[in-house]
Amino acid sequence: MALASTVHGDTREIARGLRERDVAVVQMLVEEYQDRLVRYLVYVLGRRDGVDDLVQETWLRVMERGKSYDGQSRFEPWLFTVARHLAIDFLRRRREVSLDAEDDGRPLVAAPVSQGMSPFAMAARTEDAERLAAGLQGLQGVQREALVLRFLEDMSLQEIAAVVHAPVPTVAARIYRGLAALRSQMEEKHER
Amino acid sequence: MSARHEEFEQRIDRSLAGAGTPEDERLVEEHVRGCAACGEYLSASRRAVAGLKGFSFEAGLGLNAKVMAAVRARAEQMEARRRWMRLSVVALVLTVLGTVVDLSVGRWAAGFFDLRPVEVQHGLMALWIVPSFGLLVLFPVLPLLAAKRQEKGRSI
Repeated sequence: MALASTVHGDTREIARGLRERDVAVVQMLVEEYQDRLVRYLVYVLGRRDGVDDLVQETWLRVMERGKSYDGQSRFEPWLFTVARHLAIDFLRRRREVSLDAEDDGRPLVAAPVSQGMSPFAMAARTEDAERLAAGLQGLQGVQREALVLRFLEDMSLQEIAAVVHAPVPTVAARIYRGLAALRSQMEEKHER
Repeated sequence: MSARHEEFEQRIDRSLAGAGTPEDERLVEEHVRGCAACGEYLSASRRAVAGLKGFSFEAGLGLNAKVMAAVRARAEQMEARRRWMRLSVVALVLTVLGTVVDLSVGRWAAGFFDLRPVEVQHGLMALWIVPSFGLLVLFPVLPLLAAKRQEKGRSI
């Protein structure tokens, strides 16, 4: 839990480094968070193409706007908020549906636009993951986002709500729906 | 499905999502011991959550190096911009100071050096105010020109 923030002890140290635009601190953060940032963006977008560019943009934004991280809370939610804003811009530029849209009625980011194998199928390393890949691909971006933040980043509902700018009950509902879809994949496997 | 099962499935979902209370967790634990259906629901949910850890997403080859090169370049750019900004402030102060001196001390200096006031004013204007105003205009433009040149160099 709270991996890097506790491993590196002091979020205030990160905040100081970002305030002073210390490249060494950014390098340490890149090494620590890069794979998780890639994973978060793949979950949000449901695609692999374009993610590397967004990752780079995210770190440049971290460098430029690092002053706004106060070090009072964990670094991860702040980082993912930065990445999320860029992901929304990316989707808008491509005229795809925004992550900002409400779940009720209007469609959110759904299946990936990219052709070919889904990023989840490509990244599956276990039999269960292979089974879940199809379920994940069928989910909306906001639901996948809630799942990755809750179960892989180990964030509280309040932290997730702050990242996604949505009320806690909305976030919880996204997790329930995501879980239901994944569970049905596991049950399908069980029945076979 | 009975209402009781449904109630416990909701409790299980709440617990997993982090929205459950300790009471929810205690009740779920007690209930699944005697209810196979809810036990299966809980175990399928846990398998699904555990399955999420079976994906491996890694940064593309060389991405870290590419990112750090971009970060360093941006840091240098920002530092240069800050330096020019500081110089612009100095130029602004000099311009204002020159104008004040011109207006208030010009007449006195003319008497002191035995010159006509208009000569002193023109001298101050030519040697002080206009150059510092020129720098004031130039300093913010220079980093933009440098960035453009850098971009052009990269594209070639």
